[in-house]
Order: sequence, then C-alpha cells, then structure tokens
Amino acid sequence: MAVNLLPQVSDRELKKVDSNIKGFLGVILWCGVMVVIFVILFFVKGLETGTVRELESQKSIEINKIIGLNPLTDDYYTLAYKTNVLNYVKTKQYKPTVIQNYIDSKLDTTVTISQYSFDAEGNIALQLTAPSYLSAMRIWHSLLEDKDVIVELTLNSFSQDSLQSVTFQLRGRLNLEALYKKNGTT
Amino acid sequence: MEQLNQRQQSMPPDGARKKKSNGLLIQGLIALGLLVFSFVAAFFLYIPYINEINDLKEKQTKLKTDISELQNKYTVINSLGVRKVGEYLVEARKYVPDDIRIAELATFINANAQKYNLVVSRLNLSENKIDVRKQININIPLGTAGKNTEIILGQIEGPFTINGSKGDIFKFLDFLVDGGYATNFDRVSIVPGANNTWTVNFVAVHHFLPPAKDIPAAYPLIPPRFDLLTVPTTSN
Repeated sequence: MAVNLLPQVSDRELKKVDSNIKGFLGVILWCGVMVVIFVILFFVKGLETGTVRELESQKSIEINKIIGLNPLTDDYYTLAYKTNVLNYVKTKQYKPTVIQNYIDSKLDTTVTISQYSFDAEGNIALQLTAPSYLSAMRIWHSLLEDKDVIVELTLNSFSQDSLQSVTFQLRGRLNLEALYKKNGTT
Repeated sequence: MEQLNQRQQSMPPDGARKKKSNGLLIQGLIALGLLVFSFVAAFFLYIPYINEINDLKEKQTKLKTDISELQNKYTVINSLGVRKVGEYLVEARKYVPDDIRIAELATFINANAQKYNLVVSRLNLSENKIDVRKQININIPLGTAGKNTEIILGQIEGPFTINGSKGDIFKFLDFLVDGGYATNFDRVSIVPGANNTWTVNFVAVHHFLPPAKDIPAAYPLIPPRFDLLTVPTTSN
C-alpha cells in the first residue's frame, strides 16, 4: 500500500501561496520601476551636465576671442560712450545765434534792447524800450503770435516816460525744438 | 436543517477567518508602505533630480544666449577694425575729449576771443563729474559687468564775461559750439554798454569722458552713434 508522504495542501492554501507570489512579484516590479526611473534621471542629469560644461567651455573660448581683440574692444567702448554722450548733449544743445536771430527778427528796428538773457531751458527775458506805446504793443503782439516757438510770455513791468517812450520787460519760454525745426538746425 | 449544517461546514472556523483578515491587513499595509515609500522617494530623490535637470536646461538656454551675444559682439567689433574705430574716435574726441585741463581751456578761450575782437573780463571755471548711464540710456547689469559699471562724464562750466560787439559775441559763441569746444551754454545774459559794445555773461559747459579701460568681455554690446560723426574717408 502506497503512502503519500507529501504534505496535504488544500486548494485555498494553494490560492493563498499564488496570491503571495503575485504580491511579491508586484513589489519586485514596483522596485524595479523605481530603480529604472532613477537610472533614467541619473543619465539625463549626466547628459545635461555634460552639455552645460561643453557650452561653458565654448563661452570661455568666445570670451577669450574678445579679450584677444584688445585694445580694440576698449576703443570701441570709448567710441560708443562718447557718441552716446554726444547724442545726449546734442538733445540739449543750442546755437546762441539761432536764438539771437529769432529774437532780433521779432523786434522793431526802433526798439532799444536794454538787456536780454536766455538759458539752456529756453527761458528768455527781454528788457526793451520802444518809442511809443503802440510800438511796444506791436512787439508784444508779434512775439505772442508765434505760439509754436514762444510757449509762454508775460509782461513783467511797464512804464512810460514824459517823451512817450515805453520801457517794458518780457519774460517767457522758447520751445527750442520748434525753434530749431523752423530754422533748419538740430 | 440539513442546509444549515452544510453552510456551517463550508464556513471557515473562527481562527482561520482571523488569520485571513490578518493576511489582508499585512498586504494592505505593504501596499500603503510602498505608496508612502514612492512618495518619499519622489520627494527626496526624483523631485530634486528633476529640478536639477530643469536648472541645467535653463543654464543651457542662458549659456546659448550668452554665446550668441559674444559671437555677435566679436563680429561687430572685429568687422569695424582698428583703423575705422580710430578714425571715428578722433572725430568723437573733438566733441567729447578724454580730458580737459582747466588752465588750457581758459587760455584757449582767451586766445580765441581775441580773434573775434572780444575781451574776456571774467572767467571762473569749475569742474564736476556725473555718472551718465541713465541720461544716455545705457543699462549695464551689475551681475554681468562686475567692474566698470559707471560712465563718468566730466563737466567744466563757468561764468564768462565777454565784452565786444553783439555780432562778434554771438559768432564766438557759435564757434565754441561748432568746434566742439563747448557743448552747451546756459544763463546767457547780454547787456548793451557804451560805444556799441555789449557785455555777455554766460555759462559754457564743456564735457569730457575718459577712455574706457579693461572692459569685461561679458559686457553688453553698446552700439556707437556713427550718425553723429563725420564718416571716415578711408576704408578698413
């Protein structure tokens, strides 16, 4: 009579072992996936680091090429600064005769100038003596007419002597840009 | 009754049921542990790695931009050449010299005023220096430039008093502007005197800018304003 020495295993126990094995395989697979992801990241990082080093070395080469250009580089920047400064200065620059000619063209030949002054911002002040009240008014009117150039004009003082001659002071502001445009000077 | 007995027989005993529920609990705990572990791993390992990779990519983009700018800068400067830059510099220095010596300027003004039949009765020059980066719209980032970040413009200005005819006075002032000896005027006041002579008080502003020295290679490229200067006749 044959005797079965193998342990008696029920179906349920077999299923349980099967499920355990599946679970174990799942864990192994999961760990594997994580390791694979890590390895991929490690390689990608290595690759990117390599590219960065390569680019840094290329940048150093380009920098050295520019350093090799000296003293041309320094001269180039000197030129760049000077011309940019010149551009800045020119925007504020004016030719004194342009203002003089403009004011003179507005004044009657009979008018005597006691003083006239102007500054870099276009502010002007005129101390004038006209032979008559009418002549003084005509000058004031002719200056006021040109609203593009004379943006402000006020009569500061006004006096008339026994000989009918009028002394008056005008203060105002010139739009230098418009003035130069009209006179063809920039 | 028979059915009830059969059902009782098919149901596991209490010990086995407890064992089974313990097994499920352990499996659940393992699954939860794995989940937690994945999150921890992602947080401490993957996320820093991903961040580092992103940083490296950003660095690459910046480096590529830098390289492109440097190549462009090299091409621009090199293509101009030493001779052309030198010729333009001579022109630019007429208007904005490297340096102005006050004594020389005073002598120059006095000598030239005489050529216009004018007499200099007052000359009082003073010097100051300003950083003009803002005024000339040049932005030099501190990070890339390191040193040489300031562009110092020297200004010599002073009240002058000159006597002579009105026409000569204005011609002289124009000469100063046209020749580049004075880049601007301010507070001009003209008063007539005796014998058709006039007295003019004015502040002439002279600018000077020392040459740039040891400009770092990573400095941004600043284009010169060639349109303000006379084009050199000789080619490169």
